[in-house]
Amino acid sequence: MEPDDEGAVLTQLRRGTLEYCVLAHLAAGPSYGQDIARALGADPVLFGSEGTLYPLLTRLRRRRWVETTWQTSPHGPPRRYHALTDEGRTALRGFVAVWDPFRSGVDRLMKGLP
Amino acid sequence: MLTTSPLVAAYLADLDRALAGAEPADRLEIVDSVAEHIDAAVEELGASPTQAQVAGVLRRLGTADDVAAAWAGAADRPLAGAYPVWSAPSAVALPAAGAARSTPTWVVVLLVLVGLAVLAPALLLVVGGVMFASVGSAPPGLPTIGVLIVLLVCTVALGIVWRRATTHRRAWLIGFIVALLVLLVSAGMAGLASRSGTAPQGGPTVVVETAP
Repeated sequence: MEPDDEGAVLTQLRRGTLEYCVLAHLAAGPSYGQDIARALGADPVLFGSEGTLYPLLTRLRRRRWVETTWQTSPHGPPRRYHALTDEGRTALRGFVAVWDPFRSGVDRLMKGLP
Repeated sequence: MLTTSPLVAAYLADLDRALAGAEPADRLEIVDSVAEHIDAAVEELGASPTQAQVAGVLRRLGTADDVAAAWAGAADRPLAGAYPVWSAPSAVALPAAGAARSTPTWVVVLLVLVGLAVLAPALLLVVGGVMFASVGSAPPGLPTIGVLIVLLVCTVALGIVWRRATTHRRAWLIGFIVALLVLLVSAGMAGLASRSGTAPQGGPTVVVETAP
């Protein structure tokens, strides 16, 4: 990885955090793919492209952190709704517990840079 | 379904090819989810969106290779080269599952045992069905109703296992109902054949003796 390759840095950071961002969005209630993509895509730092959400959702479902059901939509065909499971909620709590001290540690080191 | 635009069809075909290394269930789920996303996004554009607008929807999704690379990353499969910048337009060869690390023996044994436990109802169903169909009734020594109950339980057990393995509820439901109907019709026909086959047993017995 080139030192100035911001894209590669973002990719690495997203890989470890984006799934928890999805869980955090679902903590507010079940949601469908496009809605999640819109919420996360509002901040371009979080999301590279909307399509990358779907492999992530598949992974979360396989881990049983998210469960997927079909629900009717008032505007068109039924949609896949994704909801947080108890395991997903536990995983999210674990991430939140670690995230604050992790971020503080990184901030402390980065602020000391010339 | 609105994903009838040639652009969308080509994109989904590319995505399907790019996910060639994924497990079939994952591949189907990802492609279906992306198609659903496109449907919803295109629908929001109005009654007759332009090709440029549809192209915009696809651009926001990222390339098919981006999505496939995200799957490879999400599945903890390390990719060679500069992830996620891929230049190949399609047919991305993703590493096979488990290629990145060696699997301990006990895990293999456990997986085989679990696989056998899942396959047991299927094997029972096939073996029982073949015996039932070939004999026209239950195998000798087994009550017909018992064999029917075993076949029915196996079918339901398989249905439950498959249901848990997929989110495509409609396809699963149709397949399950068809399988159940086929089983019931086969059982009915076998029952009829069995009844007509046993009828002569109650009648007079003809003994043919051959001359020495």
